[in-house]
Amino acid sequence: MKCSISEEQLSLYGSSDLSAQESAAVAEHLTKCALCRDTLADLQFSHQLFAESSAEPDCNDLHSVRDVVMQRLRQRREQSRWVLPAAIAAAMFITVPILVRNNIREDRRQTMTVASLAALPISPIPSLDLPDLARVNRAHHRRPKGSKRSSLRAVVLSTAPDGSSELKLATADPNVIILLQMDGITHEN
Amino acid sequence: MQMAIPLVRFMFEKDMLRRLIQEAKAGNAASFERVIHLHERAVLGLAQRILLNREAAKDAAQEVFIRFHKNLSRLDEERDLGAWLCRATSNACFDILRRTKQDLPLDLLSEPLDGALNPEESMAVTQQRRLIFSALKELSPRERQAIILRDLEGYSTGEVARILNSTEGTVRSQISTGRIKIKNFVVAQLGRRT
Ligand SMILES: [Zn+2]
Repeated sequence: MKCSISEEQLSLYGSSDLSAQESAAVAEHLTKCALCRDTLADLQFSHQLFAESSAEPDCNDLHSVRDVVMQRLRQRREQSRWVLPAAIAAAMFITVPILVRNNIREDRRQTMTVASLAALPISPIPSLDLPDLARVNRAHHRRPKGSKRSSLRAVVLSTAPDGSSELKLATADPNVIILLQMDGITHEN
Repeated sequence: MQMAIPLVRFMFEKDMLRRLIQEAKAGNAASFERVIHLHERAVLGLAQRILLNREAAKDAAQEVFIRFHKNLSRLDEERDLGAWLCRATSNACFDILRRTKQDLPLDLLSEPLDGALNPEESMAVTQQRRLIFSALKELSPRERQAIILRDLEGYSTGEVARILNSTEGTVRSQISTGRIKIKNFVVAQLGRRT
């Protein structure tokens, strides 16, 4: 005997996934086909095993997920807090070499405040994106003819116990070090 | 009056969630942590059911909450956060299943140690899980997602289609194929019922 209903219809039987007509046809067929009744019993049994098999999450795993997420968000916040200071440092790096050329003579040391950074939220500095600074420098800093190239070589960050911070930018020219401080910017030649 | 209690509780939770999300949007980390706390069981549970692997499920859940935080400003508090998280979890799991070349080891077979089962019951649960988890490996990632959302998470076929960004017809066929594959695997291992 060939069955008038499919295994797919049997697998969806008993839910709203079959139309009322289809459901009625399956129910009608089941009354006279032992083969399909057996298949339906197998489907129901495996479905029950499947429903019982799911594991609830372990408390330790829940804690660990939450901890990792909060830690990653904290790291992101720390980084984004330095976007503004980093941008200002980059801007300084564009302007300071010009000032260096205009104001510093090679034979004497001079300290000069370029801008007041008193309003900046400078507290512990975890890291600065050095490649980004270097890229900004290459892109925007047109070196005046005859001046020394002073591309960024290293960034040294230090924070004093009183919370004041300073950022030291070493350049390719060993005589030029740019120093950014909490209350002002000086550079040393 | 008996019906009033769950209703009040539901409203309270919804109000509380809305407030927590508003605070989280304003940058309150503690409130965001509370929101995670309210949904972590559902998210990690779903990831475990789809991936059948503990570490991979944790990775997926972390990814979901990071994504949730990134999208926080665009999220409407009125919208159903549960469905959003469910979709994000399904997607994160699907990415992991697609990326993973070899099968992930099935390491969720036994009950956690604090479970209230005696050793024999625990053994039976382990064997049953091994059988079903092996059967689930016969399913494509999409079939696995669809059948888990439909049969374990209790979403309707239409809701599953929306979560998986698919059509009802496709999901219905994935659910049907999934159920038949699991049935065939169980019959092959344990024999027929009758
Ligand atoms: Zn039949």
